[in-house]
Amino acid sequence: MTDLPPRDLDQLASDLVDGILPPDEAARLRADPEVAARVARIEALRGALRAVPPAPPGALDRMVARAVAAAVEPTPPRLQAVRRPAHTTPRPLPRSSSSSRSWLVAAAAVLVAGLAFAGLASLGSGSDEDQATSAGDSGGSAETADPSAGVGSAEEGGELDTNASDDDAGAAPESADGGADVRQALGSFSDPDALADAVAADQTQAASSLDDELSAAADTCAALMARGDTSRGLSTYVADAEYQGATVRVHVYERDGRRRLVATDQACTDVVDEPFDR
Amino acid sequence: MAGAPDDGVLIAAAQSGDPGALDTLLRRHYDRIWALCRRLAGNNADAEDATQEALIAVTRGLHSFDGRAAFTTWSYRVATNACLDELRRRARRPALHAGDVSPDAVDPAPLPDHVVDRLDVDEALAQLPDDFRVAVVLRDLCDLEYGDIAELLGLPPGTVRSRISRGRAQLARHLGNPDRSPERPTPQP
Repeated sequence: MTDLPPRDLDQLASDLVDGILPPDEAARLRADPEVAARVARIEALRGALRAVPPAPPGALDRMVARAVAAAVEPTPPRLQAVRRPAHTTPRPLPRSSSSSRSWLVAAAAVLVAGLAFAGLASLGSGSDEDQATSAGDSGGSAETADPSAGVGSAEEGGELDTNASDDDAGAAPESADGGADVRQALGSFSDPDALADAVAADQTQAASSLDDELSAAADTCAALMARGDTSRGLSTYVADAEYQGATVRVHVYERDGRRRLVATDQACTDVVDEPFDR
Repeated sequence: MAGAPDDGVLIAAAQSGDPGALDTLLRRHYDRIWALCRRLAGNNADAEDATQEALIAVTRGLHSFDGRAAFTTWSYRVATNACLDELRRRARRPALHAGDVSPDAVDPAPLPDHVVDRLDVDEALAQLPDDFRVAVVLRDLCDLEYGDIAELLGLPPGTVRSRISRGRAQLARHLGNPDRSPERPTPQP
């Protein structure tokens, strides 16, 4: 046993402490002085780790009170299952004081987009590239018309979904919250590599900067979710996805030629933050 | 103690907007979250901010808790992410990376009688790469199983096992020479 590399001995000792070895192997290892020494060390470290300094007096009441207060404060807007396509040219959002007007514009845009797409499909003579461009443009227009309503979800998955307007009326956020029928733009992921693969595949063009989709949002978290965290660099991509069962907004930030993939959950907590070089 | 509502009751009530239930729930789990954030932060000042953010994250994320995981595990996940996010914002975390400490390096300073005081632990933890520190803290402080940690961190269990092992080894080396132990035979003059 003593001729094993230190890393192997460390691993064996760690496994032994965590009880994941078969009983016979565990018994054999306990008799080995090298491993036994490491086990004793780990157990001492565990004891030290658990001796956590107490919180300052009064911290409990103060922190809990603030957290409870946060429950009734305006919360970040729930993420809608809307993917902003990278190939959509950002354009200024029309600002209308009338939500009904926005609705009409959105409905008209969806109708036009649907007709355009149906026309393309029936013709069947255009190239794939042409169709993709048309669909993207249509979706972009719809999205621009009323981003807060999530009209862009009409092109979820790259195709137009004429049912999107129903979801836009509020079904999408509610279903996302309830965990049922969550419409995801990118899909569902359980590890950052898979998420990064999907983002890489979805990036048809780089440098699609974010417009002010939720610029009217009042709180910092909402703005962060919408525009990205400018302190991290330029957000060149944004999408929504499901990550480990939670709806997240995905950003790709670029700074100094380096890119990072960041997925943020609805509590504005980063659940993925890693280099992105795909 | 009889009559104290269990977590499930409190969660349901809190999700329905009962501030008293939320208050009770947060107080019940406060010590765990403080301990996690304190070990990840390495000092009380940062830990206070991180814990506050973690509690708020738990509060705001509670509506999405569906009971598929234990509340303890779920809250550790939320708290871990909130703590790390807060610490990153403050840019006070050590900037060491996984390769900065050779796994086979031997620290000549012995750990006297296996006694590790508080400052030593904070300093040693601070020198661990983030990935290792989080894995070790979740296992050795929070008692999470490999599978829970893997799910929490979005990693394969094998990677978690490796990070825990390497983190523990590096922690030991930062605190002293692991090969200087009473069990190890010493040459006689």
